[in-house]
Amino acid sequence: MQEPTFLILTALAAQPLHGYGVIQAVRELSGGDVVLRAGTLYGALDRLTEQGLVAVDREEAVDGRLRRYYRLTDAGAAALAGQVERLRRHAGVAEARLKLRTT
Amino acid sequence: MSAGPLERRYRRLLWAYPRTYRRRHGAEILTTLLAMAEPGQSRPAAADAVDLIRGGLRQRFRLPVGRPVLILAAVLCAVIGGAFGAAAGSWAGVQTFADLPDEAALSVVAGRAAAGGAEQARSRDGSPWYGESAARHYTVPPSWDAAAAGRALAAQGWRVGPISDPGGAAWQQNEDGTQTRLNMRAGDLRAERDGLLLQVRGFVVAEQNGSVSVVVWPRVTAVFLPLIAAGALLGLVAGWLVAAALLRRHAARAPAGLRLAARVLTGAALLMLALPAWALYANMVRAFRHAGADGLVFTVHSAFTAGRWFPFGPSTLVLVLTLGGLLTGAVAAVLAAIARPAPRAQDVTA
Repeated sequence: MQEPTFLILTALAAQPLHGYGVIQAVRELSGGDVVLRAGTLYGALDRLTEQGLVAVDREEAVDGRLRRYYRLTDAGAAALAGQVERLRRHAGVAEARLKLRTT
Repeated sequence: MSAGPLERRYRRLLWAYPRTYRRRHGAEILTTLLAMAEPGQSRPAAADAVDLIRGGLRQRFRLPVGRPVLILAAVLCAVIGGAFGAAAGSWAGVQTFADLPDEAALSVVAGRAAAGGAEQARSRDGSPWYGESAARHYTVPPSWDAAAAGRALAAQGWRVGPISDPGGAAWQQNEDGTQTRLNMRAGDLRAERDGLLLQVRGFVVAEQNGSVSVVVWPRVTAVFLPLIAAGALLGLVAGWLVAAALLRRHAARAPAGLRLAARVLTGAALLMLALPAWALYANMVRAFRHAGADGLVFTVHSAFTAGRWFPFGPSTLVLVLTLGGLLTGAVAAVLAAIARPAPRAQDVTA
């Protein structure tokens, strides 16, 4: 799972968000390191929807503009949990190996 | 809300996306883009523009996931596109060749090479493998001589190569069943002028009349093979894009009957076009393999010339299958277009 995908799933973990909401959430989550652009975001959302990890939650019209909210599906939550577990394991291993380092 | 300059520019960038995608997601992408915009911003940031174009291209090239048979169809479509692209490149390349001399001009040239011989036959044709050439055949008196023919051509400004012996022998059948070898002179020479190549080949047996044939064809230009390669490449990409576009439509919700008909016809079109594509690729291989040789020019699109490219079917098989395949494909595309669902109400703003 690539970092933008991971961050998008993380952004949607707590509550459904619309596109701009995802971009803001990802920026905050990454401490400003990752600023998704619209083309990248919607490419990822489209792919994740097709894979069943994300689904359209609802649509709203604000000032005549369409906002579509996306939510994490159960499959998406499971995929994210699996990735969290993998990252935790890798982080632990890396930490342990660093302690063994002889200078 | 009236569209400001920024919105207009974003809308224009969204044209990078396929129409079906734009209908589904155009409005919400625009909402997001405008929400991200700085106050007073009137044109998209370069990085955003690149990102949208890249995103749009990716959507145009991608296939629906998890359908191996569709991937196979798309690959086939791309391969067929490459073959027809190579044929188009080959045709364009041949347009840069020197024109064959008309009959009057050829009479002057060939008449000199055949040194006063009597014309027996003339032909002007191509084949399913190589491009057009013009030929003359003469009966010549026993005095015909290849070196003299070469001098006559040189006097007309042809650059004449060395004379070679084409080989062969002549035999006379005797009444007692034995054979006597006859004294035969033969000569073969090549000449070149104004992008045209000329071959003169003569045989004179003992003191009887001999025969001379003169063949002229254009020399390959430097852009010929690059145009074939570029055509093949463009055709591959175009074939893939057509397949991806058709599959997007097939994937959309549509009446099952229409969808099935479109699929069956698309499959039939691909099958029909596969055979011409095979012939075109084989011709392309010949064109590259014989590159540099100055014999008759192997062209890709010559496969459409009537002749027996395949050892079965009518002599126009390649052309007929091509037209049939394209027609069937067009009908399938129209069906797919009909099968495309109407845009949903909230997307009309896109």
